[in-house]
Amino acid sequence: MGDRVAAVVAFVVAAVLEVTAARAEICTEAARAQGGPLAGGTDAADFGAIPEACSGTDLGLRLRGTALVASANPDFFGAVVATSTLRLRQRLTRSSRTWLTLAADLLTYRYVVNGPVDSQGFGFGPPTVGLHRALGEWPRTATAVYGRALLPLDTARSSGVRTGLELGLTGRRQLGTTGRAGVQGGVAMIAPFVVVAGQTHTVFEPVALLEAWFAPRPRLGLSAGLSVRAEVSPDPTFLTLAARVAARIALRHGLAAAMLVEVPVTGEDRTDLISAFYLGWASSE
Amino acid sequence: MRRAAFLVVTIVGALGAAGCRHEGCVGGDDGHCVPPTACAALPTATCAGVAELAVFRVADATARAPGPKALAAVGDFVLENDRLRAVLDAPEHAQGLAPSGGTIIDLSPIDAQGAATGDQVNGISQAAGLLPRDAVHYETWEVLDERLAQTSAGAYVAVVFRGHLEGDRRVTVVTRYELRACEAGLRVRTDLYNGARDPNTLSLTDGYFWGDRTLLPFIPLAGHGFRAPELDLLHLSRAWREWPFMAARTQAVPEVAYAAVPCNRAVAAGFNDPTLSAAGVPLAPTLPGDGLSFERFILAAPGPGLSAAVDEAMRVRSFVHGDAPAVTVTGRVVTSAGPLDGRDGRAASLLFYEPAPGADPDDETRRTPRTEAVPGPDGRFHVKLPPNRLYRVQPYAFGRPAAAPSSLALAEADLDAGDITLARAGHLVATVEDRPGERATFAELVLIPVDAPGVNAPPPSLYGLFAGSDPMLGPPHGGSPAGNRALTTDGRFDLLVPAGQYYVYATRGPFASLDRREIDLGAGEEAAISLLTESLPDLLPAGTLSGDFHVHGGASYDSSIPDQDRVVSFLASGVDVIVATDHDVVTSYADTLATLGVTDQLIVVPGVEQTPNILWFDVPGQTFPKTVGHFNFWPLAKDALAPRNGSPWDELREPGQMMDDMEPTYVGAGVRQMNHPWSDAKLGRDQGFMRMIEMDPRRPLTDPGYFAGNVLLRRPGAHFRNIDFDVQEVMTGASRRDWLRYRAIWFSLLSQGYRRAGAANSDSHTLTIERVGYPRNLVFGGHDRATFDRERFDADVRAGHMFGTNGPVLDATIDDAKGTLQRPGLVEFAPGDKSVLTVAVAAAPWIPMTEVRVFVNGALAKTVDVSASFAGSDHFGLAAPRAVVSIPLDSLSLPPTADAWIVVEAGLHQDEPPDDDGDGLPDLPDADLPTRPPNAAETDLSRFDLEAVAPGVWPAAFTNPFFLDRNGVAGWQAPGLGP
Repeated sequence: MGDRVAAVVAFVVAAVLEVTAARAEICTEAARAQGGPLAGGTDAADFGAIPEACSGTDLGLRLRGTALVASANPDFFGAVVATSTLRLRQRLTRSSRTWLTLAADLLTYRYVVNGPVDSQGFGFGPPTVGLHRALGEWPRTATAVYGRALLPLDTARSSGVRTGLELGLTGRRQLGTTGRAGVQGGVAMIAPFVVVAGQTHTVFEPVALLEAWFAPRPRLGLSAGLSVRAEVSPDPTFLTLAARVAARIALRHGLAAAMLVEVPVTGEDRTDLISAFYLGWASSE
Repeated sequence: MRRAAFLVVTIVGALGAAGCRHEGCVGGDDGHCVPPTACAALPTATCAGVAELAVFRVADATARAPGPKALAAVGDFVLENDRLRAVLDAPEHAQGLAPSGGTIIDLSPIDAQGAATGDQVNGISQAAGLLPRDAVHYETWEVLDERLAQTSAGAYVAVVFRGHLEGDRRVTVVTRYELRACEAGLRVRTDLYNGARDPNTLSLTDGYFWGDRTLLPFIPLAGHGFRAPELDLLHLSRAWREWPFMAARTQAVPEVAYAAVPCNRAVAAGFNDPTLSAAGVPLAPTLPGDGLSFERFILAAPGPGLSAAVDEAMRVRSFVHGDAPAVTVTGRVVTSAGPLDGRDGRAASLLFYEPAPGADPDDETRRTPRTEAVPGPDGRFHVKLPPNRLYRVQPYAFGRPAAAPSSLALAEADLDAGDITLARAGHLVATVEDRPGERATFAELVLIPVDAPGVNAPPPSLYGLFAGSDPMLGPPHGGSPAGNRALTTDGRFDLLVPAGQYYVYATRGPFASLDRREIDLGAGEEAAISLLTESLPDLLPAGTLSGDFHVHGGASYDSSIPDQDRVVSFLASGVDVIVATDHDVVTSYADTLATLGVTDQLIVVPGVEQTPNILWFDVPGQTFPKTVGHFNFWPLAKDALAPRNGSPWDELREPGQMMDDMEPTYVGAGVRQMNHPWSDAKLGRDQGFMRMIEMDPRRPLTDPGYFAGNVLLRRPGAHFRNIDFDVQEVMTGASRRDWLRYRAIWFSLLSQGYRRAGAANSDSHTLTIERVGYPRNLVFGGHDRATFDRERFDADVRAGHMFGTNGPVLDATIDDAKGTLQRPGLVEFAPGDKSVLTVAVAAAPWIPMTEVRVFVNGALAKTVDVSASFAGSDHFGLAAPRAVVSIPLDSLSLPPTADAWIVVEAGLHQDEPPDDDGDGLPDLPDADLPTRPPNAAETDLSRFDLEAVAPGVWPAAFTNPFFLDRNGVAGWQAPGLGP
């Protein structure tokens, strides 16, 4: 166990120090179908979603729906949330290993049934802004660290603000020599905090993602994996373990479409289903 | 780039600063936060009343305002100034729909002498949804006493309650009730924080539990006013409306009006219904980590009518929301012959509304009611209305429009609307004697129109509510006169009556003679009549007392009849023993009995009807959780210093647990009674336990997997099983349909060996909702009022030593093997080979009867026609017809050498209706529901007079069972359910 920890620490340190700088083959074909993990989960914009390990410049639109049905009598409760999210990823310079992300929930529709009363509403926001830095890139491995901020702009709130920070490490590794399969994922610590009426509620939630990807054809990528999220403070709680499957199709002219389905299988989060459709365009730079 | 960054930083900073602004407990309850003063825009003027400002905890009975609904108990909090007394129950004193205290239980205006004028509030509590999990549960409190630390203008007293939603402690709720000097209402602010992980529809509202038949809620919205859309529990959001204020008026003394004005929102949102209104924030998803607050001003003003409360509500709105100051409209209501006879404000009222758009300005579905006024005894009225609008004024009298509406054009100046002329009322003076030449002390007068109302004629009502009484001499659920009924304490009636042709009845219950006069009253005319209603000698078996073990008064949340009228109605019904069974509160009527000097004429046994209202009990396959029906318990002692006068809190308890809870409270040996076992649910609240658990009388309770059987036979608490009640109501009120169903359930229990006494009770709530003593029980065992022994009486009730009746008098005996006459009861005896069932029947001459029925093991075994003895009697005479029937037991096809049970009935013919819906219970066709027979001039008059006095009654009496031990084996063996 101790050796493994030491190895991981050494890997991270080495990455940070940019011990190696070989150009990663795994990141060179942005238009190929097996891009980084699709942003999932239920949090706002891309907050808490493990991002790509490779740099790039692209623009994507996500249409996400989540459903929660707690129909056990007498506690009927249900919620359906539909969100459209726009996300921009911009490499700082053409060859830069640093890139920015900006994401925002453009329009969120919520429908919540609480026993015999229900309500619905639309909201805009919140946005996130992130800074990502590739660490080491090997021919078959890419890693990056990132920091992301959740900005306190959400028109669906009645009072106060919710903001937060996220720090994470993400990686991607090709398996075999054909470039048609690999694994990707990452870990992050998110710390959303709510400031309402002078009171601050901060939680620390580690998240992790691990999925395998496979590209049976150059323009078709498939992936499957698990995501996990917990709260470590102030109330240690296992929030969710979700299985996820995704498919991505690379179209012409840098366009791509993707689909993600996540099914939470255990945890306190009562969400039953998350599904998302993605449409994106990637620069060929 | 820098500019953009600066912009982002500025926006983020501003938003962050907004979150940092301290604002009460919207960000959660940290134990220190305090919601700020609500309705801060209301001016805090200095006034002479600052000296009266007080906050204290209740220590004695003086804190209770007049009125049967006042419930202040030791430990509760009182906020009081020179205009208002508010009582907030301590967190540990749960009442009504709330799982804890911290709610408003009493709200009374204070008069010029500093005395509370009366309370009509059942309860005002907070919730964030309709399910039990969303009720607010307060746990702690703190008192803020700022009388000295502030200037007199800023002086206030407040109580802050802290808690959470019942089902989720992460959703915190803090409410501050504040009272300032000279203000007619409480400033209330509730802060809610959603610390849960999911977005939720947290409809933070005050729940106003009107309970039906008490306060009439009103909202000034097009198509509403006193009208309310039908509530559908499955789609409650459809009933959600937004309104500038809500008000309510009573229909009985003490006359109080209430209003609630939102302060931090321009409008309040919720639903409005005579059972329950919810007023709070609009329906919207509340995100995790989000909070909201709701500020309102809840005020009380002296009645009668709505106007005083609406006037104050508009004044508050003008300060808080900048509404244009209301202007005053004055005027006078007169009759075509001169001044109005106001008669306690019952004769007339005025509804002010903005005309409906379109061709019909008076269209009730589109006009916008604004306020209502009840003229004073001199006919004068004044109301406040928003300026610069057109209005219509509709006068009402006796529950109907009393003149064509007139129009008002209101500018910004006060307006004298002049005289509003109504048609004159008639005047009826009636004297009632109980012996020729001797005026009766207590009697009831009943009026019905000579001609049956037309099918399309709208019946009289209170602004569309509570129709059913014709004529409507007063609000149907208030004091006398109420609906078409009036009471007297000296044999004299002096009543205003709408012009018309009426039959006037004088009655003193089903064991006294009936008298009737016909009057034809023109507008402004007076009729003077005299009627005689004599007790019928020897009608009742010796040693019996008649008792009604299920009656309600104004202390019940669904009644507003004043105590004096309630007691007079008991006396006028000829009942000897009343078990006072108000919902969830112990009542004794001791003060009223003493005031009337009738402690020797009526025995009142304090009891309670435990009436759970919180939906919680899970029944497989049902969409909503359930409540467990209603159960009566007596004898109890009223403790005016205790919450609910000493009755245990009954929510979230199964019947067996309720029985456990009641054990320490009895004064003597307790009686446990299951009420109306198959009664319908009312707004989701199940009233009948057997219906709720879907009991099927055809199935043995011991069937494996039978949910109802499992529930009935299980022991949810320490001692009692859910089936361990002593008595079951077989008749409740007048409903013929219900009687047949309750009877089927009782028969099923008896056949399975669950020996329970059968009772017949009225469940009367007001003068017009079920008549006291119809039906009642005749308890035998050598009882009389003068030497009343409650313990022995209750023992006879538990033992089934009684007959139930809504008119016919029945006595049945069987001579046993030793030749001893046995009356019905729950103890078995061995009959002889030649034993005979002897049935004696009698009735007042106005109560029709045709047959005697004998049931063996639940099946009809014999019918004997006795109609010849009862036909042709003079309804208004004194001769009570009688018949005696002797039936040898061996003629009843008893099962050979097996134990059996027998129940005898007498009354009008009754077939066994079909079971249309397959639930095992008879479904009486609508066509068989008793209604007014053809007019007196036509045929089939036998029920005409009974229907007038006791609508819906289908004459019937029943015995409790005889348990026949015939098989020679020790003990009685239940026959089991039939095929």
